[in-house]
Amino acid sequence: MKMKRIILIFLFCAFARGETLAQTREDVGDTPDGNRSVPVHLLKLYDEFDHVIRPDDRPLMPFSPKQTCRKCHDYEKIRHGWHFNAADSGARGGRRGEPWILVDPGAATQIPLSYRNWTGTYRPTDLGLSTLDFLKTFGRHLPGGGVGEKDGALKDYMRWQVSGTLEVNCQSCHNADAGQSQAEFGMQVLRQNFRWAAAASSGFATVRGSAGEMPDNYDTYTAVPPEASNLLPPTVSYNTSRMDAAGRVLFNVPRRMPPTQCAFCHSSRVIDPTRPERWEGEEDVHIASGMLCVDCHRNGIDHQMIRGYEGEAELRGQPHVASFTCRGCHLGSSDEPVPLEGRRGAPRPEHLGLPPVHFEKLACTACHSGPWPGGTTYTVKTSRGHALGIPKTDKADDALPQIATPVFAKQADGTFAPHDLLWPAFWGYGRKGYIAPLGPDRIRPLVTLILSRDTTRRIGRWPVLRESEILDVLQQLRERDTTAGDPLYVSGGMMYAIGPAGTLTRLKSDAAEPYGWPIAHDVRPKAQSLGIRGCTDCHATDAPFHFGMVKIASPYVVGSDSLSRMTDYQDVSVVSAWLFSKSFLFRPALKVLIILSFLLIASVVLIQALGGLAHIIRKLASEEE
Amino acid sequence: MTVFRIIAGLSIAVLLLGMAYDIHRRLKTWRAAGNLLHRRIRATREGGRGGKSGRLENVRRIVTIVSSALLFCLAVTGFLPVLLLGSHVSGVLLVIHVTIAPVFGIALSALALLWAHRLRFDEADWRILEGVGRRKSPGKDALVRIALKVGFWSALLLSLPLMLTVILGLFPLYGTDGEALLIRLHGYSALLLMITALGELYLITAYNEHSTEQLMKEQNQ
Repeated sequence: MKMKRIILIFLFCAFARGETLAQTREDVGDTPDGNRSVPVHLLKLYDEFDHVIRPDDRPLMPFSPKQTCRKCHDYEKIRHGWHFNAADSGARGGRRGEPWILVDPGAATQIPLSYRNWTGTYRPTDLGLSTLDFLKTFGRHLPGGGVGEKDGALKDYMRWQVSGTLEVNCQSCHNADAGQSQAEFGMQVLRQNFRWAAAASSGFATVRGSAGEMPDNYDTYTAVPPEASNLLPPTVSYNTSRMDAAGRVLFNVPRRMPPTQCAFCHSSRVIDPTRPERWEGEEDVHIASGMLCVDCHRNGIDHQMIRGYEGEAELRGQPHVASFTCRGCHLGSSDEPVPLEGRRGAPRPEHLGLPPVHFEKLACTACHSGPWPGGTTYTVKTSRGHALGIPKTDKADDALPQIATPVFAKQADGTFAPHDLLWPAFWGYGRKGYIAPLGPDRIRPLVTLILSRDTTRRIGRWPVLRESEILDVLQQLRERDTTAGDPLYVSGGMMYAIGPAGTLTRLKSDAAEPYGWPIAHDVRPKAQSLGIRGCTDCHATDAPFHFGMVKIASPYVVGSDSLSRMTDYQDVSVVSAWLFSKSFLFRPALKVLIILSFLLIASVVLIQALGGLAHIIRKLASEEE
Repeated sequence: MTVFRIIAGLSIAVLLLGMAYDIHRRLKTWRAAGNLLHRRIRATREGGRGGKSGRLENVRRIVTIVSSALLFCLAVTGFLPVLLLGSHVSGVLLVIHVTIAPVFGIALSALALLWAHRLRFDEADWRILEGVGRRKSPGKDALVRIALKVGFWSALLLSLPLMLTVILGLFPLYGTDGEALLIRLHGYSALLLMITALGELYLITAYNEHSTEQLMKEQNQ
């Protein structure tokens, strides 16, 4: 009995000690001691089974960022950060952001997707996209983690065994080595080399082959090549010159990452026909002045990045986050116990002559961000939307998806801000007010016939759909499944259905509304801000702010509807906006009239006051006499 | 904004309640008040037909009515969004406000020119002032007359910061804080002007039957 008790106590102590050690080990890199020098990251590499990697291992495994980095950092905490938590059930979506855009010209489809609950987006599963499908399509611009680690679906179980999980690739953001390549990471993800992607992107490992080409029963660990001789299984080799005698590799992990690291997934290119060359463009004024993205978009070990929009602080329950917004940094807040504005020397704007109502009605970005608005919106290409940075991506200006910018739309908080705008186009079934979209795979065979008729069609561009062709596809959809609901097509802001007479009917629907997300960058310099030339930058009857035209880009848009007016997105009547702008024509005359009235009344008052003064003087004089 | 809303709301409420109380105290019934108002309107209309007052008198009446109407419109468009919604004036209301404002400026200038001589402070007012110094109560009519004059000159005086704050705000002279201060000053000036004008109109309507006659007699002499 006594012996048993001793054994139990021993075991308890051993476990307790083990737990303490584990905690200490994981915290070592997450708890700063105050030293401002940058820790040297000379690290042993570990594979996904937590085995140290040696160059002569057979089979040689790719290193796992999860196992390598978790030696000092709390991976569990990190993997629920903003960049990885879209599919987490408890994660806050916050303000609407850029969605993933599923584009398939062959199915006349362009639809915004997101795992976050942003109104106007669809969950990938709504279109029949499994996690694996999603990664194969969009994983190119993910930093790993998130859905990349959600490999529980039975359907793709065997594929996941071949591809491995797509762990958080810490290097995507934190490796400043010149050889670090997010493009290579993206390419490996497209090849389903999830397990190998981080190693391939690191700059000190080479990955060959494709897990996507391997059969479901391929065994990575025995590395027996498949029967088909032309298929290359995924393998990794390391540049041993980068390893020291102990097999350690030096990672370049600065505290403040350069903006180019973020730019891979957060770039955008505005297609301005008048300025086609790269040198004619400008970069964000903050970056130009030497700041980094991470100066404002900060985070702790939980990787909850500050997105920097108004209202985020309240949503997060962290009031000091408000000091990282444009307003917080440049204007400050009287609510703060100590002044927090002016970070990194942020200048306090004068806004000379700008009536305060502008600060109620406009987000800072309305005047300061995005391209200077023209008469018609521009098209913008984004990293995630257009696979920018990935080799062999479509570099054409009119590559799909077509996103309009800047659209000055009203946000949920009632302020106007510039947005990127996407017009959804998809087929689906409508039932009881809900539209179930159909994935491109189910539609493509039906649209193929139409595509074959269009001999002028360019690959990768919209097919030009005619009314009869939409009707034809809708009728085929109805015949295929009579119980699914009414077949519908959403395009160009309208919803099309088969009418009672068998003709195509146009309907208004929330599902057809464009999906817009506010943009904050690039911030223009002060001298290029809206209003710098006076009120008529925005308050003229032809000013783009209210009267600019928004391109409606979709496979089927009725000619007269191909443009809409900016006021359509502002909750403002075009007449009142026009009247208001028109009043600025008379403002100079109004100013003169008020000044004249002021001078006249002031003179009358002055004469009376002087008369009164004269009376007092006379009275005093008469009393003296 | 909140402080202004409270002050403006309270001031207007107190003024209106004071007027209501005074009407009730003096005339006992609302019907009598209605009759008085009807009488005043009829008197104004008769004056408008030419009658005794002459052409200049007609112009005076018209300018007073137009100025009052314009001030009412400005007050509605200016105070309504601030008091009810707690937001700055904007949109169509702002268009109406800024369009009416210069017309009001002209009307007020005309009012100043037309009434300044008649409502000037004179020897009689000085004597009243001296009498007050000696704790001698001036008669009710004299008191109303001097109140009318004080109201008139106060309104003109308050219109100066009202207009000046707008003029300064229209030029790129002041920054964010300066513009906010100008808007606040504009609001307070407008509030004071509106209260003064309402008081003046009330005096004219409810008390001024004898005082106006007296003023006109003085003018004719």
